[in-house]
Amino acid sequence: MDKLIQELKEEIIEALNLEDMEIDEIDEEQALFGDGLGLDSIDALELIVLLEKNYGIKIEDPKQGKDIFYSVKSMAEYITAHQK
Amino acid sequence: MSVYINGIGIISPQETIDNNKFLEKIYPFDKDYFKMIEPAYKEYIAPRDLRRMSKILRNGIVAGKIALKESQLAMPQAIITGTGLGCAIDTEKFLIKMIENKEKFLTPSSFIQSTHNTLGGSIAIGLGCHEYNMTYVHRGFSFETALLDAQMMMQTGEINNALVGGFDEMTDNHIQLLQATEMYKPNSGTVAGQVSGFFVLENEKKSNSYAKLLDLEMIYKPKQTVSTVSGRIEKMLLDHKINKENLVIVMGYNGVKAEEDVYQSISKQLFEHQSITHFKHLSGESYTASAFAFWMAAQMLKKQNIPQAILYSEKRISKIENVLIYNQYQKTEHSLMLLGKC
Repeated sequence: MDKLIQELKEEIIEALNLEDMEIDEIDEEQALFGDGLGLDSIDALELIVLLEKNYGIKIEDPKQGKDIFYSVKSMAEYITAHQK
Repeated sequence: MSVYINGIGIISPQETIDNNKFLEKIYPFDKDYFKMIEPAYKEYIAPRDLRRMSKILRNGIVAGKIALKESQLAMPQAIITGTGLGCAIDTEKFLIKMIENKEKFLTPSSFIQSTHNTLGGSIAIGLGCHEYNMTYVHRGFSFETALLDAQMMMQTGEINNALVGGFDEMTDNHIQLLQATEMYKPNSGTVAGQVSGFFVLENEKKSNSYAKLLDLEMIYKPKQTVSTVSGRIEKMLLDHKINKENLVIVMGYNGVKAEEDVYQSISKQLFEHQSITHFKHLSGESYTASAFAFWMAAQMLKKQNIPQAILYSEKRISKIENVLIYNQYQKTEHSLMLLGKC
């Protein structure tokens, strides 16, 4: 899980052009949206594509998005549980 | 009614960001094409906004902000831009991803920012400006058309001011395509460049005005290039009763023989006693290189100075009253811009 979390942080920094951020600056439990990392709806679309492209996971129910993308940790848990 | 240039912001391959300086140090092109001298973006754009912007957006927004700040205009009544290629890097990113991923997994950011009007729109969003917003994509006439639109709207009283810009960016992929053509052939053709120049135009003269735009004309594919362009220049100078003794010429010499022959013939025919200046050895060639020439002309008029680096042929001149820019792109789009001292 730790390896996956590190990998996800790297991918998020690259996909969302968080060029000034280091991996260590993202807390795995920190909220990605709102007051946390401050991501927005376009970032959410980027994360959906990232999940599908890099991990082969397609989110069928949009309502799940809020929980899956709450934090890096929640993303990693979802990937671990759903990756084939 | 006159149109005054009251604020300028320009990012280019030279040190042009500081309007107090005027080509004091010259930077040659780096490998295949002229690269921009980038400003410290964080001084102008919030980090949160910055991360999703490509260089062309960053440069354009910074240039626009500098021009508005200098003119002390908080909210323009129009934002009008001209570009040949638009946001080329984001267009390439989007298309490359589309090919690599076989049209799946397409992300929105590059697509949203790949359009030609992204910059004009982004400046408006940043300012909260809901006024007229237009982008012209007319090859070598792009910047000139934006200027013409602003000039006409001001002359008809629709607006009192406008933020007008010309911008283009070069990419490592696009330069390879260009260099396969005769015009940009390495060692014998011209060198590509890029520029992002924004100008605040107002119908009111201010203490810090640079110059006034007197006239602007575009000539598309003239059959007899030299005689047609010469005739239009003569008419323009006559219409504005320009004294050629105090006139400086800016020409778009770019190293391409067929184009240079036209500049030389016109110089010989009309301007044997005038100083001729050039600019594409500093900005590089692009669809909107004329924005660099426009900046240069405004600076010459305000500072009453012709830097050595831009002199193509020098003649003695006591004061600079007018500057005429004649530029062409690939023998197709020919433009004339006449500026006057304030």
